[in-house]
Amino acid sequence: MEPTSLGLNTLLSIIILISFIVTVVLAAASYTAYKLRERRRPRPALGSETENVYFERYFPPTVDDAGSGPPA
Amino acid sequence: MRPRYLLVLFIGVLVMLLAVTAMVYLISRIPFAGQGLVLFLGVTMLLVFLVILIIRYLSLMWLGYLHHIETKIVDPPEESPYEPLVTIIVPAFNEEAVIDSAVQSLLELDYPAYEILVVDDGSSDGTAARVSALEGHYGDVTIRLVSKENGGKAAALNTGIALARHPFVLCMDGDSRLTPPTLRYAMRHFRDPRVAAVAGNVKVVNRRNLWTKLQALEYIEGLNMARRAQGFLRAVNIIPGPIGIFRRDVLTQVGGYDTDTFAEDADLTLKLLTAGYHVIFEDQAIAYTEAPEELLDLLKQRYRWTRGILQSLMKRKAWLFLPKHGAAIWASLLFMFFEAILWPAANILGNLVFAIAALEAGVATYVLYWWLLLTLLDVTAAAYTIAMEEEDLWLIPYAVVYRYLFIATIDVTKLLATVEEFLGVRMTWGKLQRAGRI
Repeated sequence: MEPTSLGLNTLLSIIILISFIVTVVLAAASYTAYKLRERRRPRPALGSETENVYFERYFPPTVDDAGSGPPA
Repeated sequence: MRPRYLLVLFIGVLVMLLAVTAMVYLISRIPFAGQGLVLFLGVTMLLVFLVILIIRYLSLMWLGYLHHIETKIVDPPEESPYEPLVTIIVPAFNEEAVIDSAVQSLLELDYPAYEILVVDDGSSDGTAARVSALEGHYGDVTIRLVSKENGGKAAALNTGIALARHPFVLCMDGDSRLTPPTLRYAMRHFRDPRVAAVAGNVKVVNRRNLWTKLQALEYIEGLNMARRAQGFLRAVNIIPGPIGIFRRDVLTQVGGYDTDTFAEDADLTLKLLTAGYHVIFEDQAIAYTEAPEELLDLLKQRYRWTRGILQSLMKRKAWLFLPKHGAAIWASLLFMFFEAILWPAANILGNLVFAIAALEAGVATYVLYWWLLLTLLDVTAAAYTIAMEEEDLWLIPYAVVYRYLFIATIDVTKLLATVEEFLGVRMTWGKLQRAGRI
């Protein structure tokens, strides 16, 4: 069996690859930690969001409605 | 532009062109023959990533530069001031500790006459009492307080819009700080009746640790570079929460802020664009904001942004497939979709697949060369954008870890948030924890 030697460039490449993979794994772990933290917090009841009381809903004109858009 | 920034700009462009040339050469030198399908796939993905990266960088930088030139020559406020009355709406929820200084800093704006309207969003602390003590007239500036039941930021801003006394409104966050010339620079764009809104320039104030410094760089290189380019096309796709200036009648016409997405600022911007109005970027209208200092808070913010942007886009998905009001708005919407989903996936998969394939095929050194050139490209892009904003040059070295640490971390959250959005996982707001650095 022949002895194998690792060149500096190859070593640095492996370090870069491993660092990137570790970053992605840690990012996924941090995301999981964030989700767990959020889960421990009390949740507001469904439908409790305050409705918009100051405006009537505006539906933008369709493309066919000429002249109802902003000034040209 | 000051000479040292001009020099950085010039060198940045030269180095970037050299880096791109070297990257194309590097890919052309990778030996495919007899290395199997894995390396071929890895290199193909890398090539696609590189092409997108180059198109993205060059188009954003070029359009951004055109915007930079344009804002210097179009109606400089020093020569022909345009100063209509403005109401500044400050939504405040439990901001007792900072509301005094926030309101008093607004009195220092370099603008002849305006109104400061604080909307107390059902605070349980002494926010209302503190603002109430400040109510009154300060020369041509008026401070008013409105209290309402707690309903979230969008509802608070809608209240402010409905009760504002002036034809233009500036919507901001309770914990943001505006620089004195903000209004003078922003208002000049409203001479054009097609302009419905002006997006301001948001900067990170608490540059204290690695995460906040990387966010400071991201606001300059990532967010503002795109906003600047979109500004030249007059189709900015997100008016940032910390600073947006609007025509009040147009806001009323489109129904103000909706409360059915988690990115009310992006949603409102898309409403304005799809109604056919122009949205401009003004880099001299500056708001300083406090960025999350902890990683989990940062992920929380980005999770909300990603899902909110997707919700806003899905409300208008027909627009993604058809340019109804011109190519600029269509391009802006497509760019939003691209940045939310496609780019994060390309960033992670492109780099990961290539690196694994190169190691497996015994051409590992290419990974090192690729990383060096990509980092060089990122550093020069950072230098270019920092020079453009005449920002802190000491942020440039952070570009070395920008893509492989910061962007990779954010992109993972974006991808997972995207999956959750399409699965319909329930989410709630929750106030972001601030350290009170402002």
